[in-house]
Amino acid sequence: MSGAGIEAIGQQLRMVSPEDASGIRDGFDQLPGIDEGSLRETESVGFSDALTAAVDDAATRGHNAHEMMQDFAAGRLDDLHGTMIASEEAGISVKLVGSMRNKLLEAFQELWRIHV
Amino acid sequence: MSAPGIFSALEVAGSGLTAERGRMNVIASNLANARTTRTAEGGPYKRLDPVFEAKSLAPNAFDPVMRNIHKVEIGRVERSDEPGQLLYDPEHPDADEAGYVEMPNVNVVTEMVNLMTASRAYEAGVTSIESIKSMASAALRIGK
Amino acid sequence: MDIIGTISPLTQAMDFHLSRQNLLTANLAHVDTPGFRARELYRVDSGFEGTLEVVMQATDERHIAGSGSAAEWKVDVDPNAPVGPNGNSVDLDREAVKVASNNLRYDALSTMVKGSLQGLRWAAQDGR
Repeated sequence: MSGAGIEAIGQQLRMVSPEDASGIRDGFDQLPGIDEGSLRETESVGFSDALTAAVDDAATRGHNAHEMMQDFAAGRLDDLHGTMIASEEAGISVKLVGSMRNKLLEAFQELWRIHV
Repeated sequence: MSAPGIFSALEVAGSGLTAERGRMNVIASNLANARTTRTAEGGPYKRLDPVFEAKSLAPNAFDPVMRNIHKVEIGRVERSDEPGQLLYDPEHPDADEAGYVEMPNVNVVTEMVNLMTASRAYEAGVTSIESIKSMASAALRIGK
Repeated sequence: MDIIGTISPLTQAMDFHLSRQNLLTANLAHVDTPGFRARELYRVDSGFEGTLEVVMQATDERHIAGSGSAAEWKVDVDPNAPVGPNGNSVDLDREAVKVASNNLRYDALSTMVKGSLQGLRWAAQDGR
C-alpha cells in the first residue's frame, strides 16, 4: 500500500463526485443550508488527504519506535515505558491506516455501485 | 543514564542494601568483641562506627532529578577513642597495677538498637526494590 | 518500516542478556568463595559509553556499530566490584540488583519482539 496508490484512489473519488453524480448533487442543492461551493470543497479535501496524512504519521512513528527499540537493545537507552509506548503507538497508527484503507475501499465500492 | 528511570532507581536502592549490610557487619563485630580486653594493638577493643556518605549518581546530568539523587556508601569506619568502663578485677590477666581492667567502650543495648534499625532499613530497601520491579512490570504490560 | 530488520537486533540483545544472567547467577553462587572476583559481560563495540550497567568498549574502528553478536561480547572481571578481605569481590546486593535489572531488560525486549511479530501477523492477515 503506497502513497501513490492512495492518491490514485483519491483522484478517482474526486472525479466521481462533481462530474458523474450530478443527479445526486442536484438533489443536494435543494436541501436547505447546503451551498454548492462548500459541497464541492468537502468532497475535494477528502479522505485521501486524511489517509495520506495517516500513512505519513504511521511511517514517522514506526521509524521513531524502531530507533528507540534499537537504542534500548544496545543498552544506549534506559527509557522503559517511553519505548513501550512508542512501540504501541506505532502499531496503533499502522492499524489506523489499515482500517481507513478498508473504509475507503468500501466507500469507493459503494460509490461505484451508484455510478453504475 | 540521562533520565531517572527504572535502572537508576534500582542502583540507588541497591546501594542502600549494601550500606546497611556493611553496618550490620560492623555491629556484629562490636557485639562479638563487647568483652574483648586484649587486641593485637594492646588495650581493649574499641567500638567501630560506620560513616555513611552520599555519592552522587550523575553530577553532570541535564535532568535535575538525576543531578541530585545519591547512592549511599560507607565512606569509612571510624574507631571511637572514648575510654571504656573500668572494672575492678585484680585477678584478671589484663588488669593494670591498680587492679582495674578497661572494658571495650561498646554499649550492647545501643548496638542492639542499631542492629534493629539497620535491619528495618534493609527491609525498607528490599521493599523499594520490589516496588520498582513492579513499576517496570506495569510498564511492560503496556505492550501486552 | 522493516519489521524483520527490527526484530533481529532485539533477539541478539536477548541472547546477550540471557548470557549475562548466567554469568551473574554464577557470581551469586560464589558469594562466599575466597579469592573469587565478580565478572561481567561486556559488549565489544564501537558504540558510545552506555549505561552504568554495561560498558561498551571501542577496540577497533573496523567493528560494526550495533547491538553486536556473540562474537562481540567478552567476559571480564568487573573492576567496580568492591573487593572484600578474603579476595572475594561478590557484593550480594549489588549482584542481586544487577540480576533484577537484567531480567527486566530481557522481559522488555521479549515484549517488544512479541509486539513487532503481532504487527507482522496483522499485515500478513491482510490488515483486517
